[in-house]
Amino acid sequence: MRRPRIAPWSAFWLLLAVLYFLIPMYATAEFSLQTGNGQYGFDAYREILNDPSFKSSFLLSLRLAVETVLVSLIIMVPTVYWVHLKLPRLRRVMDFIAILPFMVPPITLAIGLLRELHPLVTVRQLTWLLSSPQQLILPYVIIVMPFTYRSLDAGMRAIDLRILTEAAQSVGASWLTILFRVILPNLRSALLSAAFLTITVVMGEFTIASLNQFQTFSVYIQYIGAAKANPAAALSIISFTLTWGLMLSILIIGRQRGSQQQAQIGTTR
Amino acid sequence: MPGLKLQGLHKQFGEVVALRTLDLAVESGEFVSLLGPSGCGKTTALRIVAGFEHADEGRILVGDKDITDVPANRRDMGMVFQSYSLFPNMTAQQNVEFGLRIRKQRSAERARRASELLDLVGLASATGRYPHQLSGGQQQRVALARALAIEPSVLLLDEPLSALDAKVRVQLREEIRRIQTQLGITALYVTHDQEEALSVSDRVVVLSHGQIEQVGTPAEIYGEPQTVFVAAFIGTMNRIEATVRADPSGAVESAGHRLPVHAARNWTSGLHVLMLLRPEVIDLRPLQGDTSAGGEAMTGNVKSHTFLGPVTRVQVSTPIGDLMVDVPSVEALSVSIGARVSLTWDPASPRLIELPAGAENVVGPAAIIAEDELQPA
Repeated sequence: MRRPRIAPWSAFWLLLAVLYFLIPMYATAEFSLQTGNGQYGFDAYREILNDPSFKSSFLLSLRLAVETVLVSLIIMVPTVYWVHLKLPRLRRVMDFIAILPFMVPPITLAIGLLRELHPLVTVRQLTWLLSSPQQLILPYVIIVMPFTYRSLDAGMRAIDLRILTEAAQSVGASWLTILFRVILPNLRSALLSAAFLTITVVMGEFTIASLNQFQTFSVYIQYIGAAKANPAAALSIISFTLTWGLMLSILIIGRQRGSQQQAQIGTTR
Repeated sequence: MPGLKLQGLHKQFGEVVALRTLDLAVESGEFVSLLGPSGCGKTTALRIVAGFEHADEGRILVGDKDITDVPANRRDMGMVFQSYSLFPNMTAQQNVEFGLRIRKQRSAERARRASELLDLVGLASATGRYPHQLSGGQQQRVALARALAIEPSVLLLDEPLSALDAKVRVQLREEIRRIQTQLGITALYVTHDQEEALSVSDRVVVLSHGQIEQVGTPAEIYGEPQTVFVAAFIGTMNRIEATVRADPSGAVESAGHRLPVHAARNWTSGLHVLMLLRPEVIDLRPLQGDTSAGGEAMTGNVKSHTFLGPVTRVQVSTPIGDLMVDVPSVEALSVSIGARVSLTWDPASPRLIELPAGAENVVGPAAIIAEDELQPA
């Protein structure tokens, strides 16, 4: 007799996990399609998609997410690289600093930031930053640091940073060349995962945006959820689809560009 | 091709002295090895030359140019590393071209040079392969081609073979030597493997505790060790503590026995010395019964055998201590453990080193070097 591929108990737990995630999604989708009196239709979706706030808030969050990714990578990549290469003893300190944002509740961070930035509002050179949603990037870079740091740290541990750096130096490469031509191409998966996590966190961040009175996507979702029942469910499904689509496309683009080289990164010593 | 000069290099890591005022001149086109146990400072010296470390004191000259303060990426030194150092995101050809790309060479020129070099290292067919598709030996060949592509003034090799299989190691070291000779490039090679150093170098520098013990051709290092350390570190050496005798034909005395040594003629009698005798120069003959050999010979009992392929190393317990003797393996069959044997040698073979006062512990069982003697303090 052939053994079944998946043992019955494994199948049971697997099914349980799948149901745990699928039932709420199914329920949400079902609810979003109700138009009352047992009828089904896309009214709720139409209402959301026709709402100008939907588009503006989504694009705002997306822009903030992309900008946060860029700013945090520009700060973190050289920092983590340098710590790995020259200051390995500081790694423990970095590990600690990197989890600090987890320990400080977002509400504390938001209020602290408001207090710190308030006196600066009168400085004219900073108006562009402080009077616009752009200022959210400041706290966002901090709250995504644990994710960015972890991804980069793992990626840099996996390659022999020092040997690669010295090999590049010995044939004449400058620091910038080393970083862009040798280190970054070998950190592709680490960079991708850092970007992923950052986008997810920023797209979903509510506390800080809400306290600062900016209508980001999650603030809009919250507003809809409080005000309208069926459109809220429709919005959940839409945002879910959009976020997943976004992730998937990043993944596919990342895979394609690095397809010839991706495979060996893990096996390189 | 310029030569390389290290002048008074001194380097300390905290309390540990890695290099103690090291002076060394590598002639143009010469292949010099830095040989020593781990922690002797050889890698530190090479890394200082490459520019990855900075000496606390001393200068480095390439030709007449002082490069002590030149950053690593402007030193024009090709380097081959111990572990695999190829850029994983580039093909073999791209790896070799990397240095030329930085020098802004045109792509046709780069490709020509890369294929020329990959051809030189015997990998003409591997140009499009990624490092993970190459074996360890092939990766080191590409690394060598990459180092040579920039036409470096000096080629630095940091134990490039230590991660490879024994067979590939021998093959590749000969090839490195062939390529170095062919290009006439000045090379500095770091290794802890004496066979490697002796087989490929023009000169060998033996280092211990950050200091040069001896500099010489492989034959000099092997045949005429100048210090107790070199005698112990290079090859297998019988070391016998003795006193020079006043004897016109030359002899020393150890444990009441007269041992013929021509070299002793030039030494003051009564001097405390270490007699060095290679296992391969001792002649071993089986004795019948419990007789003594008489004459110049040393008598002893066979203690153990170690089969080494063409020869078998026989340990003989004698009144002057245990001696190692290399016997052709075909003859070793007749020498059983416990058998009585006589040992003789050409009196011209042994060498003498003056023992500094209080250096009692240098004489152990031949060839067995105490760990702490080879490790950094």
